[in-house]
This record gives sequence, structure tokens and C-alpha cells, in this order.
Amino acid sequence: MEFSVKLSLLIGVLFYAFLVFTFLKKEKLDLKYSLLWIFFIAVMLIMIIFPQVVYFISSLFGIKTPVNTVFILVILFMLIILLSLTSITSIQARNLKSMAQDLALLEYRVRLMEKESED
Amino acid sequence: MQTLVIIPAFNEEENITETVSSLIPYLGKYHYLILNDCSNDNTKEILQEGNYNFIDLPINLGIGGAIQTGYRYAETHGYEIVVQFDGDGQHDPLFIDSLIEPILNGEADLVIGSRFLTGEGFQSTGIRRFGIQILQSVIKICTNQVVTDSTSGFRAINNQLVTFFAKNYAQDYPEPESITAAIVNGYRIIEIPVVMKERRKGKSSITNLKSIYYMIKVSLAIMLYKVIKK
Repeated sequence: MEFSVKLSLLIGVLFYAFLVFTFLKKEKLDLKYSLLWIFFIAVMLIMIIFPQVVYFISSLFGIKTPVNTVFILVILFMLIILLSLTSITSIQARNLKSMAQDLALLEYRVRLMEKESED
Repeated sequence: MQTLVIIPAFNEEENITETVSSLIPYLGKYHYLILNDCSNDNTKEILQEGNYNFIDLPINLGIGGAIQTGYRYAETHGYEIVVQFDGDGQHDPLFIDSLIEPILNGEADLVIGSRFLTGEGFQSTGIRRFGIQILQSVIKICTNQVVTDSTSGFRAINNQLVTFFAKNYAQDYPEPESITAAIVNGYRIIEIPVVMKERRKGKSSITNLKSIYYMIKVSLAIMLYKVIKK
């Protein structure tokens, strides 16, 4: 791999890592959700510093152009992240629904009590 | 046995008064509860002015979430039977008695009022009837039981199913999916003939174009449920 390519990729990943840590610091990202991202940053760094890893995987699966291996890995990773996002929203939607029902049932009781105390 | 009639209402300002009026002759026998699913018309004001018995959801949960609120209410208040009754004037309270009879006799846990058993009254539009027939096949394949009117919102359940549905109930298009859930979990289901009217005013929550999407989604949900829960 050309040194210039290596350097620009490295700068890109480091900037990305900086973004993740800034989000963490500002508490705009929960630690438990950031672990996947940090893991992927580590994987990207390994691939940039030791491209042999990518070459090895490529030959293992018979992929002729190593860059395609990188694309496949990135796409797989994004699928995992998207699935985990859908899972998170599903859990949140269920919690939100349950809370809205609690609130409605509670409001009903309060309304009845107020009516009783008026009478 | 104490029976609760739950009436889901989303933007039913034109129909809700008549729906409740039609129930008034029966209120000695049954209690009723309207579930206002955060309507954005005047439904809430009408309910307040009429001094109706209603629960007011703070956000729009969709029919499934609204019905489930009714089941949770019924569970806390110890109702033995819960009847679901649409707020749009399609259902006739005359049939409530025959709907809950199989539950009283211990013959079923879920009784569905089907408009197709005798073929009387409003039979829905062609495309929807076709969709309901496909659903019938899907449910037959997955549960080996024939349900002619799986989308019917006119149904009664006993307190065991109330407890079950209070915990988990399908959210988007819950009728066919909850039937599957009930059968797969070993509850007994029967259908009885009812006559339905065309909804009085306003439009149904399911438009013609949406029916196709609805069909695919519900069929998938039924099959998935069968696979996951077995």
C-alpha cells in the first residue's frame, strides 16, 4: 500500500475516533452503544497499519482485489450496527408504549378521584 | 360474571356519540370503556362533555396499544369477560350476548364475530374480502384452524386471555396476529355469525391501497409468530 494512501486513511480513522470520543465526553453517546464503534475503529486501525491482514483474508476467501475485502467488512459491520439500532428502537418503543399506558390508566384514576372529591 | 365492553376510538367525533347511545340499553348488563387513542379531532371534547367513561392516551399508540390498555384496565378491575367493540358504528350491540355465550359456557377463550358465516349485512369491499381470504389460508396453514373473519374487531375474550393479552399484544394490525398468538398458545377459538353495518361516517383506518401492504405484513407476522413461538 502506498504511504500516502496509508496516511490519509489513518488521518480519516483518527478523526473518526476523535468524533466518537467527543460524543462520549459530551454524553451524547452511551458507553454501552459506543463499544461497537470503538471495536470497529480498532479493526480499521489494524487493517491500515498491517495491510497484510487484509491480503491474508482476501486470499483466504479468493477475493482478487483486497479493497473489496475492506468494503465487505465495512458493509457487514454497518449491517450489525443497523440491526442493533433497530433493536434499540424496538425496546424503546415497547417501553414508551408501556409508559403511555401507565400514564393513561393513572390519569383515569386521578380524574375519578377529583370528580369524587368535587361531589 | 362482569363484562367490560372496550371501544377503541381514533378520530371518531362523528360516530362515538351514536356508538355509546346504541350501548345504553345494555349498560345494566355490561360496563363500557372508551379508549381515546390521542385523537386529533374533537373526540376528547365530546367524551368530556358527554361525561363518558374513557381513558385518554397521551400519545397515539395505534389500535393494538389502545386495546391493550383496555385489557390492562380489565385485568386490574377483575373483569371476567372483555368485548371489543368498534367506535365507528359498524357493530350492533344486539350480538354481544351471543358473542359472550360460548365463554360463559366454557366452550371458548376467544369468540370472534364473523360477518362471513351467514353472509348477511355489509360484506366489506372486494379487495378486502380477497385479502381476508388469503389471511384465512395463512392462518389455516399455520394453526390448522379456519377463521373466516380474522380482521373482525368485534370479539370477546375471557379473563385468562385478558391476562395474556395485557402482557403481550400485537401493535400495528393486531386482530389476525392476536388470533394466531391465542391459538399457538393453546387457547380455544370459535366464530359466531354477526351482521355488520357499513361504518357511518369518517374513513376506515385501512385504505384500499394500504390493504395490500397490510396483507403482506400481517401474513408475514403470522408466519413469523408461528416459527418463533413454537
